[in-house]
Order: sequence, then structure tokens, then C-alpha cells
Amino acid sequence: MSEKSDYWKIDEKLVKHVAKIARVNLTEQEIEKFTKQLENILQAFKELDEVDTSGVEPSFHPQELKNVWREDKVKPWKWDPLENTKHKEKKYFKGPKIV
Amino acid sequence: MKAIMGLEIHVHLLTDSKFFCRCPTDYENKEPNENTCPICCGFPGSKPKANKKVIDCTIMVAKALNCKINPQMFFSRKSYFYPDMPKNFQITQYEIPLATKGYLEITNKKIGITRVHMEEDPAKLFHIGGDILSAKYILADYNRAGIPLIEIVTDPDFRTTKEVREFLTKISSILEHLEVYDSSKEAALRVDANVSLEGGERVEIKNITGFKNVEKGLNYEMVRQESVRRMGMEVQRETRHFNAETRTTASLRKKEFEEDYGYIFEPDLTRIEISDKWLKEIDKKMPELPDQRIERLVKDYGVTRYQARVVVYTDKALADFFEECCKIYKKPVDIIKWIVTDLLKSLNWNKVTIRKSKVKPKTFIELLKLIDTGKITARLGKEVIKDYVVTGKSPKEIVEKKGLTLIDEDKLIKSVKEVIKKNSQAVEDYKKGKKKAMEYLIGQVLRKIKARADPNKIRRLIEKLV
Repeated sequence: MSEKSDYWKIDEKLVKHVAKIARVNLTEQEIEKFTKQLENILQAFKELDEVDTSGVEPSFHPQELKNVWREDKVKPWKWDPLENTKHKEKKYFKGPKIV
Repeated sequence: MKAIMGLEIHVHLLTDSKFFCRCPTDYENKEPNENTCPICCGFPGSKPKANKKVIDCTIMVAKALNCKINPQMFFSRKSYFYPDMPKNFQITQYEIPLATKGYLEITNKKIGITRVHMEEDPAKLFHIGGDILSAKYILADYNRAGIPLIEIVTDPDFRTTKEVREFLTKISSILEHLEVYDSSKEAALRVDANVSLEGGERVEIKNITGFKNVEKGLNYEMVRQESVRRMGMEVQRETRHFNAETRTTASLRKKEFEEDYGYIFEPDLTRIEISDKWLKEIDKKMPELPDQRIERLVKDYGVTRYQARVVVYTDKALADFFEECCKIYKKPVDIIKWIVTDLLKSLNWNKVTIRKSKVKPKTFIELLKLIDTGKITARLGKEVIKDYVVTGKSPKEIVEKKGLTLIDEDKLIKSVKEVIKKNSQAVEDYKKGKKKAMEYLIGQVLRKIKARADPNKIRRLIEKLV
């Protein structure tokens, strides 16, 4: 994928890989379907990429903001964090094992 | 076979509030999930806002590590699927870290610093029904999630675990002197260590707490990789977990490649621009660093470089203690001698740091004065210090209670005479010029009077009386 010539290419192998790291299970038909759709999406970006943007600063926000922060002051939040979950034990959140 | 090692060090920054919300950071002795809010729990619609102190502290660390500080930067989201981050991503820095290309000098060597960046700590997970590999499920405490961390990444410049230890000791001391880190807090400094044997794949050992464990983990891993090769197999690129109890590592997962974290720019936080003016303000705040302090102690107090290194690197608080003592008693050379030998020995024996011990400059000096004014012998001082470290009681009281003050002249002369009478053979030997005989006689007197007199004085008395 890192090779420049393959940069705009989407194949089933790549879709399977993306599905895997996004933890999405796809059927064979879905893989075929999404490969085509993702190809179309990437095609649209390829067209955008053809616009000459040399000398234009990259933009991160619609509004250019910088250095917005707060001072190091504590204000505890009063709530019951476990109120909305069934997955709890004592005062902990309960979850699947990770490895 | 040559080993190549590199470190990723994560340090909890000493702030009152978390990185992106106003929850407190004092998670010890709190109920699970008490220090949480919609921001650190990643509720939809919640907006993070950066804590400026985190950026200030990180700039200080970067300066202390001789780094180049980037004038512009932003935060990134690192996506992954663990329950330790409720948002399913961690706010970190990726493309442009706060600082790069620094170094730290250890003995005869410079260790390169690849990068220094800021990120949030994930939750603390408890593995229920087994260890990290065999657990049935996990319990998550998000009190730790969102606490600011500095990540320091080194170049793969280490060749021995001794170098690793020296480096970590030095980094810890620097962070203490910058007052950005509390070395007494559990998990305040955690290390991921990378190790490979020349020509082989790299293995990462995750999340090691404690310097000694870093060494043990690396040593185990080098031996393991060697034996894998000896069996004619290849070392696999993977992430391993260090088990502090068995001192071994176990495979966690085969390494996912970096791109798989799907880093994206964090749109909820603004860009950061670090101006020269800001850097100059930080310069003014930079405190004395360990190496400078060692040089100053040598120059100002006339202590040896070795002694200065011991007090500074053992614990910043120990160096502070030394300087406090010097303020009230102008005998730095004696003070440091007692600190680096008997005081340190007693503290270590009792497994306590100077800060947590009952040892205070005022009472410690009281002890030294007892010795200097001849109230007790140095030899007894060594005994008193043991009691003193445990109880924190006034050394004067300890001495009086135990009856350790010097015995009076008449009693001493009487004892010396008795010893001379009893050990005529030794006296003869001494007269024939055997030096050891004198030492023996002094020892006998000391034993008789329970060390409550100065050995040199006893020597003079014996010389006079035989």
C-alpha cells in the first residue's frame, strides 16, 4: 500500500484488512460490494488531488483556532458514571478480556 | 550476540486536573470511577480542552533532554479496540510531537531521544479470574483515564541493561528536579522496552513498572531470543508482557503495524503554537538539573563527586535533606559522610525513602553533634542511627535512655588497667612491636565498656599505662 503506484488502488485484500482492524465482519458479497464502493470514493479524492494546491497552507479547521486551553483547576463532576450500563461489578465497568 | 535496546518511557505529570477535563488526578484512595466525567468517559458531544500546565511541563522536560521543540503542533487520535479507553481512541501526538532529536548523556555515551510528546493515560484494568492472558473478563477504573502523560522515546542506543538502568536513574532524577513527577506514586513511571539481537526482529515488552523490572524483563528477553535462535528458529516481531512475579515475558500479540492504529488529526482540539516568548518564559522557570547540582555540591560544599552523585541520584529529597542539614550545621563533609553511609544503609534496610521516613534535619544534626562533641563515639553513632531511623526519636533521648553516653575518665582508666592485667601476653607482643596486639587490646576495652569511649583515647591510655 505504501508504494506510490498502488496508492489509488483498492482490492479485496485491502478491504479485508480494513474490516479486520475495524473489527467488522464482512461476507464475501459484502467485500465485493465495498471494494467497488470504496474504489468510487477514492476516485473522487483522486480528482480532488489533481487540483494544484502548491503554496496553499494546509487547513485543519473551518475556523483557524490556536492555543485554546484552560488552567490546571479541578472541578469534580457530580454524577453516577455507571447509571447507564448493565455491564458493571461493584463500582467498576465490566468488559471483555483484551488479549 | 549484540543486543540492541530502546525505551519508551511514560511519566504521569504532576497536575491537579486531568489533561482534557477538570476531573482530579489523585486517583489513589478514591472509589473506582469517582474521578470521571462525560469528557474522560468519552460521551458523545463532550468536548476536551487542554490543560496548559501539561504543555508547560512537557516543554521543560524537552529542554532538559536537549530536544528541538516544534513551534507548531496538533493532537491526534490513536484508534484501537481496548476497553481501557472509552472513546476507542487515545488522544496523543503522532505526526508532529512536541519535541524531537534530543539526547541525554550517560557514562561515556550519549543516548539519543527520538521524541517527547504528550498523551492521555488509559484506564486501569483489573484482570478477573486469571492474569492478563487467562482472565475471564476485565474491570475498568477510569479514574486514571485522561491523566496527562509524557512519553519519552529513545533511539535504539542501549547495548547493555546497565546503560538502561543508568539512563532511567538519570531521567527519574531530572523529572524530580523539574518537579513534574512524583517518584513515590505507584505507576508514575512505566516503561515499554524494545529489544532485538543483531539482525533479528524486534520484540516490545509492554508496561513494566519499576527500574529493576525493566532490567529483569530485558535480561529474560535476551536469553529467550538467544535460545530461539539457537534452536534454529527466527525471533518473531511481537508484543510481550512482563510478569514481575515469575520474571518472565509472555506473548501478548503479534505486532500490528503502526498504520493500523488509524491515526487521524483530533478535530476537537486546537493547534498549538509555541512562540519564542513562551520558550523564554519557560527558560526562566527552569530549575537546576541533577548534573548542575552535583557540580555545585562539589564546588560549594567540598564533598566528593561520588558522594554528590549518590545523594542527587538516590532521591532528590535526599539531596534537599543534605542541603537543609548544611544550613543548620556548617560541617558538610561530615554530614554527607554520614548520609551516604549509615543513614542510607538504615533507610534501605527499613525500605523507606527519606521523604517518608521520620528523619528530619534538626534531629539528624543533633546526632552528629553528639558525636562531634564527644558525647558518644562514632561507633555508637552507627548504632544510634538505626534506632533513630526507625523511631524518629531525638538521638539525645535515645542515647540517654540506652545509657550510651561516654563513661567517665576514672572508670575508663580502671577498665584499661584491668584489660592490661588480664592480657599480659598481648601486652608483651605489643612491646615487641606487634601492631595487631594493640588493636586487640583496644577491642577488649571497647567490649568491656560497651564501646562507650573513643578508641583513640583508649589507645593513648594503653600506651601510657603499659
